[in-house]
Amino acid sequence: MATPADTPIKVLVADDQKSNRHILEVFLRQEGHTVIVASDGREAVELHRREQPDLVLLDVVMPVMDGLEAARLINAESGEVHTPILFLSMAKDQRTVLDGLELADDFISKPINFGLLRAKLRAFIRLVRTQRTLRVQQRRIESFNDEMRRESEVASFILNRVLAHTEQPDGHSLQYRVVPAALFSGDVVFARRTPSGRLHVLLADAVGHGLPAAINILPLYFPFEAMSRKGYPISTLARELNRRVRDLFPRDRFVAAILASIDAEAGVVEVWNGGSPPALMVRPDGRIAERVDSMQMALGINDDDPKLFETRRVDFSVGDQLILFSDGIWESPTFAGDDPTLPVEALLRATPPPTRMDALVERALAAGQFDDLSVMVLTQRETVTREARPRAAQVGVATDRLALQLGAEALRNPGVIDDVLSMAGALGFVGHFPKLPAIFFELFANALEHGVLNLASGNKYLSSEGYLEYFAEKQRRLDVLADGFIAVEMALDSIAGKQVLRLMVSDSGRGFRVFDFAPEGPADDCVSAGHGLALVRGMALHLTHNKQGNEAIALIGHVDGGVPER
Amino acid sequence: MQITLKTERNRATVRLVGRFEFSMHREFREAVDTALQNKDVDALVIDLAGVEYLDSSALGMLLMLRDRANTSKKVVSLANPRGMVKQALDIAKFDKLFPIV
Repeated sequence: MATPADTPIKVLVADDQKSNRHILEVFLRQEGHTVIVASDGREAVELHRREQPDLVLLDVVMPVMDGLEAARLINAESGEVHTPILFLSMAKDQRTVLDGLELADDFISKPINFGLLRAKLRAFIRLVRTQRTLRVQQRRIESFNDEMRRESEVASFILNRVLAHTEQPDGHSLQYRVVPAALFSGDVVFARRTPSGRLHVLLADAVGHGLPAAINILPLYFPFEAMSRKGYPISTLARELNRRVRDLFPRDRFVAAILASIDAEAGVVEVWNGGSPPALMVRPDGRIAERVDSMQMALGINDDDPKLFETRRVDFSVGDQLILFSDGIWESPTFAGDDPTLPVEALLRATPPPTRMDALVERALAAGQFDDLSVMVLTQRETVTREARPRAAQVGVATDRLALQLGAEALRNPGVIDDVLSMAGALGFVGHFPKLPAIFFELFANALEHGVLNLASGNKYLSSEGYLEYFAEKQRRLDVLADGFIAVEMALDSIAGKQVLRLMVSDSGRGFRVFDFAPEGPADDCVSAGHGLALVRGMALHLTHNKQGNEAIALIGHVDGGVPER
Repeated sequence: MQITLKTERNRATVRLVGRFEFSMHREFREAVDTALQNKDVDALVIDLAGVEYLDSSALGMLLMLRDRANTSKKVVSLANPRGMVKQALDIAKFDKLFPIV
């Protein structure tokens, strides 16, 4: 450690006696310090402001402004970094100094004993040095904190974006809660509908908690989303997630997870449990009818062997609840014991179904929180019908095919046509088949208005009043539309060696009599009803309807493919 | 948490007492390193009789230990898990990786 004299400091000396100033200046320079001098209190205050010395030696009795007043001002201006002050005073002034000692850090009497001054300086230098170190460390901590905060903000932005995508599928049928132990959660829940109407859910718990655990979770999201949307079974999904975690993270950063696929209509749930507490199937009275215990190790530890990802099927009857949770619940001191099932079941029996999730969380938290904690509760609703199910767009995508089923909710969305076309655009269909947007628009409008909404176009074109009335009626019916759907399929095909796009639009309506509405012939022959279809006929290579009139198939030519023979 | 290492001929026993969690990382590693570096040892026993709680990072430490033991051709077994520790190992299906005695 350096001796105090090794640390040169800047000293401000204020004394009205020139000889005193001089002696002090010479002494301090010999000690290796920088010296600035003032001849009265006011000058001292100004120099302090300008030069920011490390130490101030102040004579008490000075003209213009005395040492006490100067000390007061210097203290007031020092702000965060305190500048130590040492009073110099004649023995007879010592009463004053005692009064003023709260303004200064020490005093030394005149005539000055330089041995004593040297000793006192040493103490002040130590103080100055400590202050400097503290200031450096404080700055370092501040910048570290800033950096942490920035990183946290970025991370929480990303994670929140991801979590915001968890679907709330059907009103109250899915409830979930995630309570992190730190700023970030290593527990996560995802839910996504499959094209056939099953619901995929994932409840995952990464090793530890906080940011490292949260990062561990992130790579699960995209495969879960993509594979659920494409309708892969959860056995395939579990295997893929295991592979991801294994490839991306060190061996000791694994993720305990439960995957479930809920087929509400068939009344069956498929479960894969890797390293998580049991999934519970709970009857309306709170009895645990089935438990699916951990079957395999957590994601990231298992070998890539399909046998390890086989699922178990459990009945899911009306009123049943499938309850999934992380070990934050299972291992909370409230439930932990030889068999946590017993206290959990007791709680479930005593609690009505809608509040069971909150009851579990609150009871677990009652003993304090040691880990991230998450619960998911899925309730089998009273009735599940196929018509009511397609609430939002259900999508299946391949590079050569796009299939969607648009339910009532999707049809109410005024941007639905754009949404579909932007998906088609992403697959390159619009670029290759430029007539697709116009043809799709017409067939879709037809399916919606005359199919799903069962509007007769009768007087639509007879007057502007008729036109307005027609659209008002369309909106009214859309607003109250409870079921019904439009199915769209676009697929690459070829006719006589030429590439074409096959567009199929069908709807849940009763169909219409195509030939009454859309007489064959050139487009300008059609002045009212069937106008749209005639337009399509003019643009498409070919247009056919099924007999019932609720399914149209158009073949659309390639931009540079020429028109093949019909 | 206390960790003691006892070596008898070819068998090293690491005895843990208390809560086995992330804060034990360094001590656990030091104890097993000694055992892993001992050429005479071919069997490592982690005695969990005195462990009342074990978290997922402890499971991670056991996994890492197993990997390292495999490369030096030593066998790791877990002994005497009880209560919550036994449950945690059951749920994690660690019986697939370790003999549990």
